Amino acid sequence: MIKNKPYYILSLLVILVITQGAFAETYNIRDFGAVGDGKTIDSPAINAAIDKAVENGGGRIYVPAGTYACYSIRLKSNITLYLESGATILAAFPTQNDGYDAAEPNPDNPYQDFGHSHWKNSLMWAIGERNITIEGHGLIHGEGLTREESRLAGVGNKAIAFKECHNITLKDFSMLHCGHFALIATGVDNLHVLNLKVDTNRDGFDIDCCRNVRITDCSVNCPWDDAIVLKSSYGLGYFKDTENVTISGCFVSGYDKGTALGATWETYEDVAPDHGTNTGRIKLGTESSGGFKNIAITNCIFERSRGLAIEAVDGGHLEDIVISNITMREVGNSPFFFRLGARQRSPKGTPVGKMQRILVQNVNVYDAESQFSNIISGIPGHAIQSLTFNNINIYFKGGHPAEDGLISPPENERTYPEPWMFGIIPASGFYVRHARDVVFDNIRFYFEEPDGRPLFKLDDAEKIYIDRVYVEGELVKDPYSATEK
Amino acid sequence: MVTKIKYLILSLIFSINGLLLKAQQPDVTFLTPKLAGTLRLGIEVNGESKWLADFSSVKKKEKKEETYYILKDAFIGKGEITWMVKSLVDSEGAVMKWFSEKMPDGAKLIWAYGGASNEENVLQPKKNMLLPEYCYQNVFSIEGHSFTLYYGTSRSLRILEVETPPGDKLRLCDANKQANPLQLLNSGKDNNAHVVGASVPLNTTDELYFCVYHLNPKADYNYFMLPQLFEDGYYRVNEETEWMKSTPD
Repeated sequence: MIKNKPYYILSLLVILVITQGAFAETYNIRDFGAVGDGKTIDSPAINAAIDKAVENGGGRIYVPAGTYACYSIRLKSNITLYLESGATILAAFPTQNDGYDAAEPNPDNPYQDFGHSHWKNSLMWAIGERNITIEGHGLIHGEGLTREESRLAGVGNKAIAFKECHNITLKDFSMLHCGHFALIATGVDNLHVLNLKVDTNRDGFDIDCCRNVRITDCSVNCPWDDAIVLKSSYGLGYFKDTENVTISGCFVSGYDKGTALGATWETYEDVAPDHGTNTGRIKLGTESSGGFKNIAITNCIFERSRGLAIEAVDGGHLEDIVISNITMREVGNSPFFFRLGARQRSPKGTPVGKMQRILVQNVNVYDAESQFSNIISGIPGHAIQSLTFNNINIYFKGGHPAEDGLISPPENERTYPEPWMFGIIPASGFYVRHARDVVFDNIRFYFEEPDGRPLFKLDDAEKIYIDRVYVEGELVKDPYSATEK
Repeated sequence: MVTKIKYLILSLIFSINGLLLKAQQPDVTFLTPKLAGTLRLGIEVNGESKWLADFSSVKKKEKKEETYYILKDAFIGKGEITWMVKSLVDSEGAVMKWFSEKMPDGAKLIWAYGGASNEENVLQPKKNMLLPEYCYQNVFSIEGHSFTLYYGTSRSLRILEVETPPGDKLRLCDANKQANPLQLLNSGKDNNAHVVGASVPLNTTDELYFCVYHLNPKADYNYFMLPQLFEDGYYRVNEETEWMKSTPD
């Protein structure tokens, strides 16, 4: 008996789990009047199902196969919204008489964009709720949402929005054409985003002022903006860090909109609305009033993107970041863009932030544009500190003349951060300015065309250690000889 | 502010009138004040198509801040098209109204927009202004039957909003292929001179509207507003709402 005790307990646990599942209340939206013909507005039926479940303490809202045209779906605590295979929640276009919930007032809107400051003008939203799951192999199609700047009543601009919620899980479904954000989570603790396929026309996931976040095994195609972005805005009306976040096993890309989810992978549209190259990157910032702490980005793939951007420009502290095991192809911008700036889009008096304790290792970059090379730039009096690059391969296009190495980029301390803010960069490998305690070890460069600029250019940079640098497979015996200070 | 609006309206009228020197050009080129694109119009009947600019009869009438065209051609039998263009009060742009009657069965309006080079002094009154060389890096964000056109440069980006009548799905096309409207509409997006276009079935007595404008707190439109916008020249709903200019964040 004692010998079989573990099996006995395990059996009891299995029975308990099965029994719990069997007794979970399910609310089929068709029982609440949903039609699923793609024309009838079904959000009132879905909201009625949610309200009934809440009345009974929570439950599973079942969305069977069909296309459900909707305006705002108001998610509540202890709800699982289950999207069956073949089920599509279709964001309807607003009409003269009907549309999405109005954007709620937010006196702190000046500190971040309109999209970051409101949550109710979304296809699905929750404020101050807990224990919400959206799952299943269905599709959220944000066709009627806008990525643009209309402020008309009834216009929706986000697919899923959470504010000040906790214990949120998003799992297995697909998202298409989702307006400003496929997902914006602001002030959410305990967020798990797992196995989503997203193909959208502006941002993918914006994780803003959130704590304890897992983003795992997701594919996010965002040719026209960032794919996975961590932010720390002032949208909540108070400072809150984004911290304890992992992004792992994800694929971010910039294929033509809709063609990743459609698996045709088209590349006819190679310019983003801001007239840069396709975006599709992982980024920390731009909104950075609060801080970023304890972030790990690992085992991710970038394709047709602007590379990795780490930005603290609004006063927050960005620290304790590990980036590892990354491969990028077709990078239209700086593969690494690290910027500590002083845009200060924060309440008056917010001091300049910090950027420190960052480790980047095991990264391969192939087919990267060269004009902006890699940029590590603080501002005068505010250095980026304790940064390590280890085991990095970069295949640049090259092709710049030696004269470009004489360029002195403007400081542009308050300018919106994007590599082109500095113009052509005077280094073929790394441009390091206003930085302290930076290690480059085992860095391999390859250039499709010869590049006459120095490999490294240092300006107001202290304690910079460069070791084991290779060009075209040849060890650069004295890397400082290839470095301009 | 008043001075600015007057100047912009004059720019628009100049562009329309410039094209009208030929008295055969119902296409509308927008200078706001730099080149913000051209709306080109054509008709499809039974698999054949023809640009309105090539119609045999184009008559023009002008009122204050409003231009009318009456168009006829053997291609549309006894059909008659009325095309009206009116400047907006609150934005650099125009609202346009289409009315057609006695059109052949199955007739469709084909429209295309593009060619926003943001250049100055490029207007050529006797030529089609929807030229491939004006289309470089024009980016179209299509949302249903509206689209936003991004043009200019990264550091001097211009943004134009366009409302179009409900019809077939909007698509990207090749400005190099404009022998006739159908060729353009079916030309695909494998090119570097994108314009956007669509076809709209023409039912008897339908009134169709277009609106081309730069978004601002007073000028923020949805298609259902266009009939009233055409009548009044303005339709304001956002004056009491929050309005913040967004960044690329």
